[in-house]
Amino acid sequence: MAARIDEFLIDVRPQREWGWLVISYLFLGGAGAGLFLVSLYLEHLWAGVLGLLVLLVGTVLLLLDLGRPERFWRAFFRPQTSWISRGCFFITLLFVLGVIELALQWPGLELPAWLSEGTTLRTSLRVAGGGAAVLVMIYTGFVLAPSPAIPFWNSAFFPIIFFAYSLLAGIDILILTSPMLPGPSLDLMLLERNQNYLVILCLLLVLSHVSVMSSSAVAARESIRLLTRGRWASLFLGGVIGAGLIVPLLLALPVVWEAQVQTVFALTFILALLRLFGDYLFRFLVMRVGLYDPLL
Amino acid sequence: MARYGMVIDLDICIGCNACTMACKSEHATPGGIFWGKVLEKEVGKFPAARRIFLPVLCNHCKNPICMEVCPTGATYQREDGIVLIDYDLCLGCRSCMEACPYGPRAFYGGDGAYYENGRTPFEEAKQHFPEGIVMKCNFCVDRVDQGLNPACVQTCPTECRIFGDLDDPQSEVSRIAAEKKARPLLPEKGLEPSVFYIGG
Amino acid sequence: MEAVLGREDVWLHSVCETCFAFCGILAHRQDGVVVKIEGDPNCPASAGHLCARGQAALISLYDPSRIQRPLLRTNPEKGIGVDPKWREISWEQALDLLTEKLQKVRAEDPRKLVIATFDHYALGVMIRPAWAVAFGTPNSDWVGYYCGNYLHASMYLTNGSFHSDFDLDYCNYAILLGNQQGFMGGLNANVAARKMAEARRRGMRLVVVDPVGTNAAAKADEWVPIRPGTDGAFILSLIHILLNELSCYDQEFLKRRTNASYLVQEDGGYLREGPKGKPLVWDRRSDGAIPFDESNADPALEGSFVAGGKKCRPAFQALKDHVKNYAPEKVAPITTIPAQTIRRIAKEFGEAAKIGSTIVIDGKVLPYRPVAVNIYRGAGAHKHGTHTALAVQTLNMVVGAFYVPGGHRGINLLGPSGRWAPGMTDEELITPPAAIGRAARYYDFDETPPEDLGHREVFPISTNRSPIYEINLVNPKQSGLPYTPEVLIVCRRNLMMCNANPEESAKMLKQVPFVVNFSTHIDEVAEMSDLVLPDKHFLERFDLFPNRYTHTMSPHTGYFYWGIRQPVVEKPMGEAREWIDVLFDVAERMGFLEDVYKLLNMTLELKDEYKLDPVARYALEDIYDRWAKSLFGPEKGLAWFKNNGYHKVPRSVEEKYPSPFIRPRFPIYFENYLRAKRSVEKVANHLDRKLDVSDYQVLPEWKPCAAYDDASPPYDLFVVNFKLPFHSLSFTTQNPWLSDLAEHNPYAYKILINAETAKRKGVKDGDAIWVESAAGKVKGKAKLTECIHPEVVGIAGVFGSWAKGKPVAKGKGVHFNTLLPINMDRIDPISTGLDSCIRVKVSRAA
Ligand SMILES: Nc1nc2c(c(=O)[nH]1)N[C@H]1C(S)=C(S)[C@@H](COP(=O)(O)OP(=O)(O)OC[C@H]3O[C@@H](n4cnc5c(=O)[nH]c(N)nc54)[C@H](O)[C@@H]3O)O[C@H]1N2
Ligand SMILES: Nc1nc2c(c(=O)[nH]1)N[C@H]1C(S)=C(S)[C@@H](COP(=O)(O)OP(=O)(O)OC[C@H]3O[C@@H](n4cnc5c(=O)[nH]c(N)nc54)[C@H](O)[C@@H]3O)O[C@H]1N2
Ligand code: SF4
Ligand code: SF4
Ligand code: SF4
Ligand code: SF4
Ligand code: SF4
Ligand SMILES: [Mo]
Repeated sequence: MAARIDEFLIDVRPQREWGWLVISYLFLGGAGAGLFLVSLYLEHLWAGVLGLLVLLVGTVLLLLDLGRPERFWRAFFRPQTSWISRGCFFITLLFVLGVIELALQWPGLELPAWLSEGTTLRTSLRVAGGGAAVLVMIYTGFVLAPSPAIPFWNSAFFPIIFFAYSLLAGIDILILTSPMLPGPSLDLMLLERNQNYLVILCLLLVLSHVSVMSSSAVAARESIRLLTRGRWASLFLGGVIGAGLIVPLLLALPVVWEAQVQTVFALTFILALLRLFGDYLFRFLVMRVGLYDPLL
Repeated sequence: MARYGMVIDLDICIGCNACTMACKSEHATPGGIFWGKVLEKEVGKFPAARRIFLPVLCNHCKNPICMEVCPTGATYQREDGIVLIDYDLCLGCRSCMEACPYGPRAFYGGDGAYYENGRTPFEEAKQHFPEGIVMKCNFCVDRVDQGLNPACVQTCPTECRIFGDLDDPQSEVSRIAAEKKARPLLPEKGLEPSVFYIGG
Repeated sequence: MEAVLGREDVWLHSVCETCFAFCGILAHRQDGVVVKIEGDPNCPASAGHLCARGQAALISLYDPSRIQRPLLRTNPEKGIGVDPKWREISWEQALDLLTEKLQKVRAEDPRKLVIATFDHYALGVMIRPAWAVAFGTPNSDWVGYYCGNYLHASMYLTNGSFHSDFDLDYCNYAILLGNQQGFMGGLNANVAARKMAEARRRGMRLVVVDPVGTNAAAKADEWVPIRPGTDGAFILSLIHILLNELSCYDQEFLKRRTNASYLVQEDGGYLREGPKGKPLVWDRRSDGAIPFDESNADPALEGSFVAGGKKCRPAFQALKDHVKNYAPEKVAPITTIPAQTIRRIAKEFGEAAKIGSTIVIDGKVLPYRPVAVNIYRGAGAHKHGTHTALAVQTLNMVVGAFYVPGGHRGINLLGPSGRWAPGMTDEELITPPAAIGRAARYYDFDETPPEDLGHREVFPISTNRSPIYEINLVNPKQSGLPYTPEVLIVCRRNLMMCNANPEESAKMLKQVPFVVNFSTHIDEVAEMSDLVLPDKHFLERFDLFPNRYTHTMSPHTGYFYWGIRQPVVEKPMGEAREWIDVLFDVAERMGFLEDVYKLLNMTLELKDEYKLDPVARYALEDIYDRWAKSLFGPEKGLAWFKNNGYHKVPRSVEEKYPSPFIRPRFPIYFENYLRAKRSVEKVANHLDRKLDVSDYQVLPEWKPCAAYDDASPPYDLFVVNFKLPFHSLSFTTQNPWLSDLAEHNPYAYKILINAETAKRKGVKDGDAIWVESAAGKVKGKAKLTECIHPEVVGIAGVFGSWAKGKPVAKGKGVHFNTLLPINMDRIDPISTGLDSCIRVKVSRAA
């Protein structure tokens, strides 16, 4: 129903400015930061390294998306108003603090006393690193949310949804990579249980967002129509909600109750893949159903 | 200080697109990119159906969200309200495009020439946009600074576009805006456009 | 921006030629490059505004696809899509060749040369009246067809003017019947758009009768979708209601300014005083028949009488009786317009006419009739279209809205300032002013065998006979002409795209042994030509007074005005030359330039001191300089115009609203058609032809087009064509800015189909569909719309170019004309206009 994008029609108009590079950044940036956050909690050096690497890949994609990547440094100039500008600081901060944190954790490193585990400085550094990760996870929500242009995005839910999804994805990456990851082994059971709470949280948030938007502006209603009945219904209902959230939730029941190591292992692996797929799809659809209101 | 604005009479506009072409000629905008254009839609069912024409351009909003979200300061506002883009600062991040509800902005990826078989002397003389930036209507700032009307206003055969100083209650644009209850597009977005519409 | 020292920065006066409105422009040139074109505020037509086409014309000046040098075909095989295998040659070689061909033809029979051009200026000023006459060919008026043919004939006949228009300064109720006057289509597009806007601001009510919800319809107070080709019935019904139901007509006007009171007999002819005498009227005072021009007569408009033993009635009574056939209940199923709508419009129209009212303008008391019906191409472009146009003129006349404030008028019946006036017949009926020309003669007919390809004597009422040229060219043997055309010169005519089905046009072009095309591009005609010569772009050209005040100068401006088109670049692209200049060169080589000069001395009415010396040689600019000085005095030569742009003379009230000030009457009864019919029959006999002469009727009638016989399934729909405000014919299709715009436009390059109809046919928005007529088929993307009659599909403009030399235009949009057949059955027998009423079927393309 929405107009062909390049026709001079007064109609609901889809945004096409941001495509797969930005979508991939949203996914990888969030997931990387989420993984880093979890690594702090688990005190797992290699998880942290991996987190930063994922974030790095995401950031490179974001840079590639710029019309003038070589001017990226100019994006630091408007933190007073621009969330993108702020985001640049958050990402940078996360990299800087993350690298310091990980460097300090490096095995066999002799640290001066004022830098050793337990000192206020170390704790503050760690808290700051965690804070930066949280900011990176949520600021993209703030990039979308304040925009009055695209009603579907114009919602306080987005920073929270993005936070939840980023954490979910971060942990899923950890689950997937755990067999190959050096360092102490991880309690997959524990992670998997946590994931279920996160899945429920995501489900609630996404559904609430959808229900709020269904009674909102023209373009938002059209976004919802696309997601629930229109062009993207099967991907949204089947992919994001079904395969990405509900199916993992149901399949997780045996994991949570039974706890046979092999089953758990195989299953969590599949569940993580499903959830990651759902997460990426979610970010993809959020961008695809970003529609502008008709001008008249 | 002046605050420049425009009133467009939708009853009188005939959708001829002279404005669209005047803009193209004035600014040598690249292929596929239109800073000003005329949108349309149909209302009603046959035979009570009708087409509506809506000339659009950048609204030079009082609260330009494009400027707010711009991470580089490339988008800026002059004291007279005209919102401009400094191509030397622009990153091409397109967040301004996402943030603006009105769709006047376009990303320029390069190769703006109109003929496949070569750039014209006209384009050589006038089309100097750096690649990878975002562009939009600049209210014909060079003309306005010389005291001229914007190109689209100047050419409009039905004279349905009026340009002037909104801060001056005596200006034609202010008088008509007040008299005819001019309204902007999507006022609920809160950006306070300087382009108003009457009739329609 | 700092001006760099020594940098060129100039604004030059010139005139747009992207349509026939000829708007004054100012071209901004910096360092040799034109960087902007704007309307010249001093030009009465543009008043500083330009339309989309005028604005975009700039980029086409620099089109790299333009032809740079003369090209000679080396492939003897001709056809659509056949590579001509061009060889570049020098101008010298080209001129040698052209001279050789023309010399041969001129020696054998100069009529073998045919010229097709729609270059108004060259056609009207330099080529047709001078060069072609000196050469000796009558075949020089092959202009655009299914254009205004139908209309021009009706205008010449009823009011002696060429183009139709109406007075937007005062009009309060206007009906646009199948045209977009005032919406950047139609005549004098720019000034009309400005005036239309003013009129609408004033509250003028606008009714648009059109199968398509065009830009005009979009802004109308009422859009009345009509079935194509039925406008005659609609208008005659309005007349019926006004005359027979509402008794609403302008008695004074009809009595004094028309032939409504002339008595007509049962055979249709006037009742005359003696066999060749004056027409009689029934004088109510003396209760007897007296000559129409007797002073103090009180002529009856109605009734039936016996005079001199003969039954007779006033022409008006005949009209009144005649239109009784067009009761709205009968017309509604023909037109698909509900009877009550027809009645309401008639009533509104009649009331808005304010019959009997007057207005004072410049101290003169004038009748005030602020209503008009305007017809142009769309409603007219059908078989029997002249009848429809005559019905429209009649409707304007019965309410007296003819050349008075607020009413219908043509371009320049009087003027400028007494320089010309209309002619008059013995019956005191109007004929075109000599200045406007006598492309057609309406009251005395030549009955000699035709000499020209247009068969002028067979179609005496027509103003141009382009389709007949085509038919005779395809079959020269059967044309009845004593010669076979051998050389065709084409300039600014797209005979392949703008005529009927291109396969037919191709046949015609293949018939002619040597086709020369002056062109800017290797367009569809150039692809079929033997010699292609690079013509100048209008921005490179010099034309003195391109706006012909006889034909194209809008009275809306309130002025007569003279401006010049001058080159706005220092030199043309490549080796482009102005074709007039080239033909003058050829004339010199052939030795008849002297005759051309002598003719120009006459046609330009050059004063003695400026007359061309036949043995001298002049550059075109010298000729123009003399012409300008001859008209306006020694101080207003070319130099003055170059610097000042416009010479303007305000129009007097008489020149704006001539009806009350002139003697000749406007006919509402076409008695001369009886004579025309006899002449045509006689000429046809000479030619051994059977011709349908049934359209020569004394009163307008609606008759179904041939398309109505094709109604059998599967040809269940009609197709119509309409102009876009931002394209001109095929002329602008290679313009990349306009093409870019058209690609973004929801309608331009599509096939419009009513949403309901589409649903019934299983067609969805954006589907590729075929539209097929008996003549051909075209493919395009369906645009589902509510703004079109359910029985109609719509195709805009003249798109769907196929010439390789027009890479921007090539393959874009849909070529309407492919669907049009051409044969005598599909041609209006009076005006010779091609019938564009055609049945089609629509199917989904796999
Ligand atoms: N923008 C623009 N302006 C132009 C031109 C151009 O190409 N572009 N060309 C110039 C020329 S050469 C000419 S002759 C004039 C022509 O000027 P117009 O006559 O105004 O031209 P069209 O748009 O072709 O008008 C035809 C209209 O009639 C409608 N129509 C078709 N068939 C019928 C019918 O049977 N009945 C009725 N009632 N309507 C019908 C069409 O839908 C269309 O809207 O315009 C001149 N001005
Ligand atoms: N489908 C459709 N067909 C129509 C009409 C329509 O509205 N729709 N309208 C009809 C009417 S009203 C008319 S008047 C006729 C018009 O019929 P034409 O007069 O044949 O119309 P154009 O398409 O303007 O053709 C002009 C040709 O000149 C070439 N040309 C462009 N610029 C220049 C130049 O500077 N110099 C030279 N020498 N050549 C140049 C172009 O390539 C083009 O081939 O068409 C009729 N046919
Ligand atoms: S030029 Fe004027 S009338 Fe034409 S589309 Fe633009 S605003 Fe409307
Ligand atoms: S219309 Fe959009 S781009 Fe223009 S000033 Fe307003 S917010 Fe910025
Ligand atoms: S694209 Fe350019 S103007 Fe727009 S927000 Fe980014 S830097 Fe600013
Ligand atoms: S104000 Fe100038 S830049 Fe803006 S739309 Fe009009 S012509 Fe274009
Ligand atoms: S109306 Fe015709 S002459 Fe005037 S600017 Fe437009 S195209 Fe040129
Ligand atoms: Mo025409």
